[in-house]
Amino acid sequence: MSEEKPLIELMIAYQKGDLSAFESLYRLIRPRLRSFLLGLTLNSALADDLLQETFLQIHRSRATYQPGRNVLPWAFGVARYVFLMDRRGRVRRREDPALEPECIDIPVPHELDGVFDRDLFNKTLPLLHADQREVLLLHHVWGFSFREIGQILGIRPVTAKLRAHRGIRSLRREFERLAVTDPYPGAKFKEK
Amino acid sequence: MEDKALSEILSRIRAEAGPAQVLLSPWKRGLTLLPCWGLLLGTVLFVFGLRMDYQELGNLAGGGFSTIQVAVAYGLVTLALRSVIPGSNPSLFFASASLGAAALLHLTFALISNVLSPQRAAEGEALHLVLVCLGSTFLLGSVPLIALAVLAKRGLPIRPRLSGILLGMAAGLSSEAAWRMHCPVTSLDHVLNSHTLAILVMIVAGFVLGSAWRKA
Repeated sequence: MSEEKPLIELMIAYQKGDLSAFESLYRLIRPRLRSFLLGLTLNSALADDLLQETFLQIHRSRATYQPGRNVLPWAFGVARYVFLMDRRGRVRRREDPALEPECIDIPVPHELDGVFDRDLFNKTLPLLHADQREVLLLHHVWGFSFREIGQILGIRPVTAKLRAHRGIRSLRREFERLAVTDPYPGAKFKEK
Repeated sequence: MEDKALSEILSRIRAEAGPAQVLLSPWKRGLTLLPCWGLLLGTVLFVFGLRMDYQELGNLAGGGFSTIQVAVAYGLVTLALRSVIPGSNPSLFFASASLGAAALLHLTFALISNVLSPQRAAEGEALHLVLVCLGSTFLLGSVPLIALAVLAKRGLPIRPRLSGILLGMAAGLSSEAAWRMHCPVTSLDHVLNSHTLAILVMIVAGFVLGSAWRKA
């Protein structure tokens, strides 16, 4: 990703103790982390809580970032860790790990606006299996390669590819069920 | 909204906003295993002495097998330390395959050693030897396990139990690699019931450690 260079520089400055670099980093990655957490939780209030916790965790774990490596996979990895910890905590406290899904609005990048019907996409997204939804969003919305997704989730790239493929297939089924034309005509899955 | 959230975070982190001591890469941090193993090997050789059938086994099956086993343990440690760095997790498949391959290698070495120098425990001493080898391998393995657990604790394990199992296996393999430099009994029943069992116990200890991280 071409935008990674400034992120890397900001992250290195932040590791050296520069809080203004943290502020810039926050503004740059916050929207993406929020929509990632929204895609995982399907609940905006919880996503906002976890977003705050993610940035606190990013601060506590800033030493684990390896200078020079891409920042986004690392930051998404931290966000996922926070999400998993929250879910495990809920299970331990015998609370329902999945809150009532609400109508979410995942921001779709401009380049995909023509491909996705945003409203329908956001309506059908919660119907997907969580694993498929996660990979589908990471690859098709945030543009991670399957290799990076594998490293964020701890799965093989081929498994990530398979989940994305199944996710798209499930989306197609849901679209058909809603009597909508296929929004992915001839969609191909290529490793980035 | 965004500014309010940011100022809230900043107010919480300002107090501890000094420069961070960046973690070295997993393969560099994993090198911690080597001085640990040196300590174990030194203890075994100086306190208990070199196995008496070393000449029969030769350098390859004697020291060579131990060295290879430690190299494999180092690989597992690297994997475990990678698994606690966000965004660089090894896949579950790769980690499981590595654990399986390491176990297979250990069993192969046990088999070859038995072929090269078949040694059985003396009548009536089998159980005593099993307990000695089991206890020694486990006790020796706890040194690298604790050291490695301290290293791993600085990260964020997505699968803490898997990270613990990898560390437990690595600690078990390295302590067994040191102990086999002393223990001359190569019969498979002895090796499986003591040396291999000690590695399994270390794996369970790693799993328990991982479960504790999960709850923390």
